[in-house]
Amino acid sequence: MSFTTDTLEQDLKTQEYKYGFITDIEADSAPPGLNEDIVRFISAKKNEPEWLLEWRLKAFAKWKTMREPKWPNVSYPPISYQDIIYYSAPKPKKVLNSLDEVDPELLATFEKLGISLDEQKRLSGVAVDAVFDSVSVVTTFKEKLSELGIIFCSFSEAVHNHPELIKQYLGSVVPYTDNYFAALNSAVFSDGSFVYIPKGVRCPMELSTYFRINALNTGQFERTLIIAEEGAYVSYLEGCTAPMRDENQLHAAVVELVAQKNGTIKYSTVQNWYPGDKEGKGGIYNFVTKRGICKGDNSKITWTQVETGSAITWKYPSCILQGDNSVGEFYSVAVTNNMQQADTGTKMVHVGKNTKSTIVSKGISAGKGQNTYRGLVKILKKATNAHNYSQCDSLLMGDRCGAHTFPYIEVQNSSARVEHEASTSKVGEDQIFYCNQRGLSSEDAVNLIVNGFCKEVFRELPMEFAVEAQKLLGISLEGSVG
Amino acid sequence: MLTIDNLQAKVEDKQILRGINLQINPGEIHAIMGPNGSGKSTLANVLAGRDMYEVNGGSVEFNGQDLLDLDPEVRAREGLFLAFQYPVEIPGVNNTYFLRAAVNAVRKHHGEPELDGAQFLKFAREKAKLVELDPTLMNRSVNEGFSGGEKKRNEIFQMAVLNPKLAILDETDSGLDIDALRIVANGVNALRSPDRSFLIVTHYQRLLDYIVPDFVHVLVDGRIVKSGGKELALELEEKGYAWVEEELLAGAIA
Amino acid sequence: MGRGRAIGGGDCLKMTTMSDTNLKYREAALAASQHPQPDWLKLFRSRAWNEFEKLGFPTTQHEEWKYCNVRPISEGEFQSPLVFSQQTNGYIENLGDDDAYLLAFVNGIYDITASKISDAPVGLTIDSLASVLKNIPDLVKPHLANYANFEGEAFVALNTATFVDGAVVRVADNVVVEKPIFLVNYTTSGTAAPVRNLVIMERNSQATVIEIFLSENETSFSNIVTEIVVSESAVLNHTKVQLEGGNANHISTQVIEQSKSSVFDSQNICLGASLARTTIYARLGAEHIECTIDGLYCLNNNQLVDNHTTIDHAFPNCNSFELYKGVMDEKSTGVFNGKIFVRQDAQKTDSKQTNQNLLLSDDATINTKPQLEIYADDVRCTHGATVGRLDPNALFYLQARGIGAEEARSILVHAFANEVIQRVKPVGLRTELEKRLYQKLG
Repeated sequence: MSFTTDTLEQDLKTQEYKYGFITDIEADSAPPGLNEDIVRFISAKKNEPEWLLEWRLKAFAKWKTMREPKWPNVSYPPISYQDIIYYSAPKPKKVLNSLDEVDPELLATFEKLGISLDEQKRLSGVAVDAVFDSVSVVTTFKEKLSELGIIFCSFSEAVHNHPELIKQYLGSVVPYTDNYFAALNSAVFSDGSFVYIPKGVRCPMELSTYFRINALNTGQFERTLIIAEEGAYVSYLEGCTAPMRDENQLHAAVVELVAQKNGTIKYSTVQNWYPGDKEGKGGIYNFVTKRGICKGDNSKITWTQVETGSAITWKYPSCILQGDNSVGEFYSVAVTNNMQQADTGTKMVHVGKNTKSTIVSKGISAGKGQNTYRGLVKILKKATNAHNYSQCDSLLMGDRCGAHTFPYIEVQNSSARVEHEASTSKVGEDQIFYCNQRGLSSEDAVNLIVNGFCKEVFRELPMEFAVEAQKLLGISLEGSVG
Repeated sequence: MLTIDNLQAKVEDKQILRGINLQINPGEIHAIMGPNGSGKSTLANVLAGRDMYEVNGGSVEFNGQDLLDLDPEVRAREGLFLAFQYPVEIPGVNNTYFLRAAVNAVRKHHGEPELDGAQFLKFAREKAKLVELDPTLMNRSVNEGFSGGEKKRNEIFQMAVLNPKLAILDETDSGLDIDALRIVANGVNALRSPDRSFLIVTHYQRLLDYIVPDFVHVLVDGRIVKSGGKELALELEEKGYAWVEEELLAGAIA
Repeated sequence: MGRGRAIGGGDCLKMTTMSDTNLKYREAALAASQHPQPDWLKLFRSRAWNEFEKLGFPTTQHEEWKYCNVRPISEGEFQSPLVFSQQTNGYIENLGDDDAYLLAFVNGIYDITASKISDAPVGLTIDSLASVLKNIPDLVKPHLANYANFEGEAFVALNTATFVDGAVVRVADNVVVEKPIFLVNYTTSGTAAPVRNLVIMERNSQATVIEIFLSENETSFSNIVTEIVVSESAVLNHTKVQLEGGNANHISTQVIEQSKSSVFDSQNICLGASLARTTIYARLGAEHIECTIDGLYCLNNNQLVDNHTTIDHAFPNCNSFELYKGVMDEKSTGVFNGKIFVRQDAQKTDSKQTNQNLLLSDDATINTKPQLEIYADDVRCTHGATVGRLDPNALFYLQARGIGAEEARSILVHAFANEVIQRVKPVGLRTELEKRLYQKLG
């Protein structure tokens, strides 16, 4: 894993958010606003079975009774939920049978984002599910995977082809009652990815979903469900971008992971939604609920996230460690520059015996960015010999930003060992000068220092993502040290 | 190589350098000695381009260029190396990786092709031997958790790798035991060459037992008040800085 | 902080529908306002009462009270302390240092017979608050109720509305008080006792002040507010010792206002009560301040002890240190919630916060939340929290040297807890605390 100063410099020349273009494509959209009819409209559009519509309606009823959470350490003007478009899909010209029939405009969009949907062109063997606005446009390598019994498809497809799995697992980790945005998502979710790895199968390639918000005033509400059966393994990657628009757009996703006995799920995110401009105009509100359950003994879930985008990020990828000896991990790099705000962290709930969790959180604040780590480590009474190690470090660049750490630790078992460490420091002028004196420019020096600071997290990312994440970090922090 | 003409510098409102004149030719080793607070480290840092000091008079020419006009990284790329008195720790940044980035920045500056990982490693290992650097240190983060002696040795190692034209050693001997001092000095001596010059800033004469200078200058209160050959260092050691100051005083009265 | 916005005139003890409990507090507030006192205080009191009435007692829905259920207080039946039978004999146990000044209170009311202040030197004022308010109110006017903000703080509001008495300690400019100053309060069964203490350290003064809280064994409710002013270059050593009886409820709020180059060094030892909540807020209001807040909580039975601390760095170049240690046995619950707040101008802040916990039983719980909230960039702030049990290797090592398992355990727990006790300045008190720790931990 390395990059040369050369490529970095080139990347750093790209000062603006380079994914900010808009694709001109005809879309099939619902009228703005939210009511029961919209929920029915979405369900009908997707040709859903009755039970799913009922589930959506229950979620919608619940949502109406709930209030938007005010406890996160972020501030934004009130969201008008009636002005949002809850469904937008690129208009299909006909039923698609192969990639050749996908709108070339769409293919070009993903090419431009560096996501090739052409299986032949993929070198490293990553299967991709591409989600454009509210729907999945194409999933690659499907057949190859199905030979192993692996299901990797859009959520809508799974509803039709594997209803028993959806019925069993939908809402089993994040019930629609969980929180305001989870309830909203449950009512109006439009698509997303579904992964099922059967017993004993090790998924031979990285599975990846690429999310793209394109349409104006549209919310994106996708749902991802990943199930690793006994002894199964999967590594899943998620990437996201959006065009530059002056309005804020809402993204409220739900991700549910289930790892059965000896199962392992690695879930990696490089979140690069449009962060808004320097004055804080525009950008995505990224209000996401992600939770995994280590259901069986010896199961393991690892969340790795690199969060550089979004105007506001509110998310806490969590693990419920129910099986004995199960392991939960959370590795996070969150960058806030300019006017960005992030309130992110994790929850590790230890239920089973000998459960172990690791939290490594690296927050970088620059410009007027506000970065909050919020985490919960909970050791329940029966979780004998549970162990948690948490490390939360913050790096400050500039005197107008903020770094905050709010860890909650609740322990009800005397055999537990919990260690939490946190530190806050700034990028030292002496460090930059030292690098200068060895011939490195200040920009390179900052990149070097920042990447060194984040190393423990990047190490957890699949190679391809790690390189991209490093570059992204450089671009996000461009111009933050004079 | 280096011509310093009436150089003056201050930090905040305190004038520290009050007119330094110094000429260093290729291959020469100059030692700057002086009591604490005389401006030795300031001189070293001003030459390297540290921005906490404000130059408010004089000029410095380095290989035909106006040194003071160059950014610190450009000075480094042009061949000016500062061995820091307090080498800085950079957590998480691998020592080898750091140095390769530095070497390639210098090579690029001179239009030379960059070294790939394997080439660089081979090259660096040779240099590590030269300064008796524990090879495991190369894989650790830059200076992080290094002992005082390891940090200083790492500085000399970086110098060997970066191959500068002018090396400034800022109190490299401070805090070193005699064995570490000998190793550092051996490293420096191994790098002596007809086209490389050294400026050694030190408080004590001891380092100069091992690195024999061509010239010794005494810095007092921001000025070079006495210059001489290597014997001057011994004389200073014997009589103390007070001797020079008294002499100065006597001169002033007379 | 500072005095809240004025809300209309002085007539504010308005009647609304209230629970019986609140009615009793209202009576107490009315009674408190009848005592001799300046008008500015009466105004505060009425505003404070309105605030309390508005807020009511906090519930666990309130983030700051998430782990602290005060139902034993809100649903408890307590008598106002205004009518109490003096039973002072022997209530002040010998907590060590005989050579000290002592102000004694029963249910927050000054007990002259048990106090020892006759030999106070020039420059040291130690007196009952009721007496100061009656005779020399201007002494406390700039400070009383000026730091402990009652807006949004139900217990501070209740205290401000109902207190009758308390201690005033004032050390004049440049005066160094050698002997420690003990402020001891004893709460009797069935009583709701507000206690209001004020410590004023004038410029360049030095003193050691110890607050001790005791009670009878049956249920009671002491509600303490202590305001502490440490002026420029002053040094205050402060120890709070909470040793109330096994059924007592203890709510305490400490507010510290520090000025330039001052030093505040404190230990908060919490061994007693059934429910105890201590809220500490230290405002570092100038440069070059040093603030140390240490704590020890050793719990058993069903004890619930909640420690809330905030260190507010408002200016550059200040240092703060915080070490809180907890030992939870049986069915007890410990809470630590420490916040280091670094405002935008507070560059070069150096702050270290540590919370370490030992759980000795599977029925014990610890909830800890060490927080950093940082708006300045050139700072060095760290915090750490650990939860664990005794190191089995250390236990085994002691056993291998012939020490029985029980004793080995006891030695290790004491070693853990002692770190904070050893920071207590008066030797006699320290010895006494070590003894009590032994009694408690067995």
